[in-house]
Amino acid sequence: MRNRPRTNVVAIVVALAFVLVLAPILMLVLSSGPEPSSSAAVSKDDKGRLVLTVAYSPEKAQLFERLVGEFNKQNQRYAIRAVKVDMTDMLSQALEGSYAAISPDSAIWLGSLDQQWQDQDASRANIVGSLSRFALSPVVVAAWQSEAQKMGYPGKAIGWADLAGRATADSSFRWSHPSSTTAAGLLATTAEFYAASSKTVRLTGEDLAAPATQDFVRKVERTVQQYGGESEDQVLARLLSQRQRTLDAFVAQESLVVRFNRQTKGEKLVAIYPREGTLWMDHPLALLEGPWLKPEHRRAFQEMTDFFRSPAMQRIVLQEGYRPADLGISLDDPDSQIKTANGVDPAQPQTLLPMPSYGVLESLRNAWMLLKRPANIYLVADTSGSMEGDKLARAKEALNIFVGQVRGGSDRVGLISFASDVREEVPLADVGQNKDRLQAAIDNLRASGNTALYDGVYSAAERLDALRQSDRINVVVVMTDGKENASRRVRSSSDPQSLINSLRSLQTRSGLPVLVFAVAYGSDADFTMLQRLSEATRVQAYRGDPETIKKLYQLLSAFFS
Amino acid sequence: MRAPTRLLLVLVAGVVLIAGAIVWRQAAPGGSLAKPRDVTVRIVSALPAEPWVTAAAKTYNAQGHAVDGAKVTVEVVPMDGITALNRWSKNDFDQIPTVWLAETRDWVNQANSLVAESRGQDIFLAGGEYRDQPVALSPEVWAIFKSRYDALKEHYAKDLSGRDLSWQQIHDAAISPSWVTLGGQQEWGRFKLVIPHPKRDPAGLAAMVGAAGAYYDRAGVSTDDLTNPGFQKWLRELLDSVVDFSPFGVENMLLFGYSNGDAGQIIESYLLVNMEGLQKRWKEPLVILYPDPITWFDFPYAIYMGKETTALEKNAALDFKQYLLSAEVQKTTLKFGLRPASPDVPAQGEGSLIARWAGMGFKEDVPSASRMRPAPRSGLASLSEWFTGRYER
Repeated sequence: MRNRPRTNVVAIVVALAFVLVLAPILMLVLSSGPEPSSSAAVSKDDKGRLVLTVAYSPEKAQLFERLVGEFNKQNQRYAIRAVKVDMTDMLSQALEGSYAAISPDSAIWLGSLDQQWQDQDASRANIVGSLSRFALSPVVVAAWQSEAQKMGYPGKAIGWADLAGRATADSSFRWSHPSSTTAAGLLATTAEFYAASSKTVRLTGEDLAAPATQDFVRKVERTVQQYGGESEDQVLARLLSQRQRTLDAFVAQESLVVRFNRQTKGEKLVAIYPREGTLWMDHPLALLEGPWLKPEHRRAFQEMTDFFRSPAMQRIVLQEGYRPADLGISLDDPDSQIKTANGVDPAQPQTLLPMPSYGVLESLRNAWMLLKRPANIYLVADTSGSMEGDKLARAKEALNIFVGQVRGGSDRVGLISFASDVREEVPLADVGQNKDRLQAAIDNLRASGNTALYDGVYSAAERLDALRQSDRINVVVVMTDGKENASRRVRSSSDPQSLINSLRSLQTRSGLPVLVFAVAYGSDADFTMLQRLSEATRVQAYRGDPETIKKLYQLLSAFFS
Repeated sequence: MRAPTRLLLVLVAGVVLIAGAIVWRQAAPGGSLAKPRDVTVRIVSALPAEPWVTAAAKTYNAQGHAVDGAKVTVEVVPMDGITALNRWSKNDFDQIPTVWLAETRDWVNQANSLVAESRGQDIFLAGGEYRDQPVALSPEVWAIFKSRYDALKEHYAKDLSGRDLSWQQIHDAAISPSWVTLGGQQEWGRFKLVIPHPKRDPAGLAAMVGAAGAYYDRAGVSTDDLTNPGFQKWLRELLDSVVDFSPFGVENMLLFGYSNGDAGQIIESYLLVNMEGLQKRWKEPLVILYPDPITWFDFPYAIYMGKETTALEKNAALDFKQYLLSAEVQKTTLKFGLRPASPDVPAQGEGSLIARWAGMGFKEDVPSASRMRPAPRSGLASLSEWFTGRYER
């Protein structure tokens, strides 16, 4: 009992020591640990360098990766993790904090990015912070040299009306521009509206609504064979690999013409700079002012932009077929690929059209939806037994995405399924009216039976042909995971020639071209056969699988809206 | 308990108390019972001044400056004034800067009044040892392509009676139907003006306030002046001639020449650092004019006085400010297209971009002109809102 007081005192002393010494030390230790990463936008690499995650648009992959490679080789403090991302994903992921900076294909997206950021929280300032540019390329009409010459190239200045006139005079002439959901498409459409209103500056909402403007744009748009949603690297890969030309001319940025001509051994493309003027794809580098941004990232961004604009890197820009943003680099530089031998003209474009404000661009996009060439689209889906399970489930999701993406006020969509027999699930009708019906029918698709692929395609083409609507784009989008084995109206064989002949007979009678976009779904599908089928209608076939099918149908929807 | 044991316990407790206090103070913000060996000065800098401040910081850091025994390291973070002001107003800095080098004192005052109200204290001081102080200068000037300048000069010769072009002639050119009516050529189209984007670049808003000064013919304007319908009509006529309100409007004028702009209101330092490239890409020379009243960007060095900044950090910041204001460093402003803020250092000397491009009209001694005074915060907000309504929707 006599020892108890001493024990108490010791205990008190120990407790006091803990409180006064150990606890602060513990707090120090805990507070000086590594900071939790607030976002995927920032991290450190194995050399201890701060890594800046930067998303870039796919068409400039070669250039961007080359510049980033040089930066990462030379910089001791910072590294860049470059992520190639489609534009639609880039903007949504930017808002989620996935990137510290982005390099879209055009500054045209930045206004809407700020708008969406502030829509989430009205008290926010812009998300787009510091801006810089390192490479530019004008929007041009890329045409095969022989086709351009028929329009008077290179002696005559060619405009949008000339292009439409050529397509009207010769029904075999096919041209396309990307959908206005892409930068090149929206910029080309903007240039059309400028041309239509005979303006080179200050395009306004009133200009867009003027009847004469709308007439002009409608006339030009009605000659478009299809729109496009592919990125330019996909277009380039297709141009270099395809056995048959699907288009005579198409809208792209100038750099694509250079890149194609440097790789092809066949006929070259030439860049037509619309005489009414054009706009630039300006590839901005934009720092994202999200809450995840730290001072070090700002410095890293500054070093990146300074590096990209350094003379050595700007020469790489020139080598890759882009125009450098540094005024000090002349287009006559020995490394320059901006030269007539590559189908482009360094003295062009003569007239530059300014980008309208965000509000005018939104109105322009809406106006285009009403003026573009409307489409009659039959979705043709394989519901044979092999589609059962996850395959069909994913295919249904993809079809529903397609239906959801078609936004044109006058586009019509129908649905046909085929297995041992062909069945019209939903007749062709304005998508605004039958969207619910289409989605219900898609959800009810069941898999069983054989594969009457040819009959399915022919049945859709026949229905389109019967309507005789030549002012519309008439399209069959067919998906199959297997091989033809059950058609009765068209001869069933592994060779699609019988179907191609049947489709040609229809066109000969009516004069109405029907485009057949074929999707080889999964590894058992016969892609070569489907490619022959699509190429016979001067479009292309695509490969898809359960992982990519949704993305593919999203892309296909942009061909028509 | 025996006396020696008691004594021992008291001693142990005393040691523990002292050790605990030391550790606690070290851990607390600004705690410095034992002085730290290093101190960092974080500077958020306006973009036009950033290359110069970064270069100066690099030399300063290499020289190994120390304050109160602590080695000073200066870090520079580039940030435009609009972003920085927004971050100050929301207290949205990951690390509070020790110093803000804004475009003008105007922005510092705005940040101070926005924050001081909620905190009950000024965060930047206008007087005393820690007052904000300009460290470099650059005016906003007119840059006009020579062919266009010559045409306008001739067309307005009578009105000008020997003086040079001003906002008034630029406005009149802006409302003319075409260059032909101004004595220019058919293919020039209409007159095209360039000003920086007012929502992205402080120089854009400054240009609009400068225009107001010219409209009222005085170097200070009130909120009523800026919201006056007569002025707004005049301003709208002027700005309707801007063809490119993209974030790259000014850069586009230099890249694409007069297809994008015939004349621009642009910060002098930006023009000077791009002049060599401009000569290569675009053959026609520019004519530079100094407007009256003239807007000066004075890049005030403002030390943050909030409690997050320690006395040592403030003193280190002060030390770097003295370094920036030293004659040797002030002279280096000239190489970056800026002008020295120190009255003792002339705006001429080795490497001066102003001297190099004097042939274009850049002048070491800016012609006598009234200096545009800052506009009230409410006026700037109204002007910004008016711009959004007119040009961004």
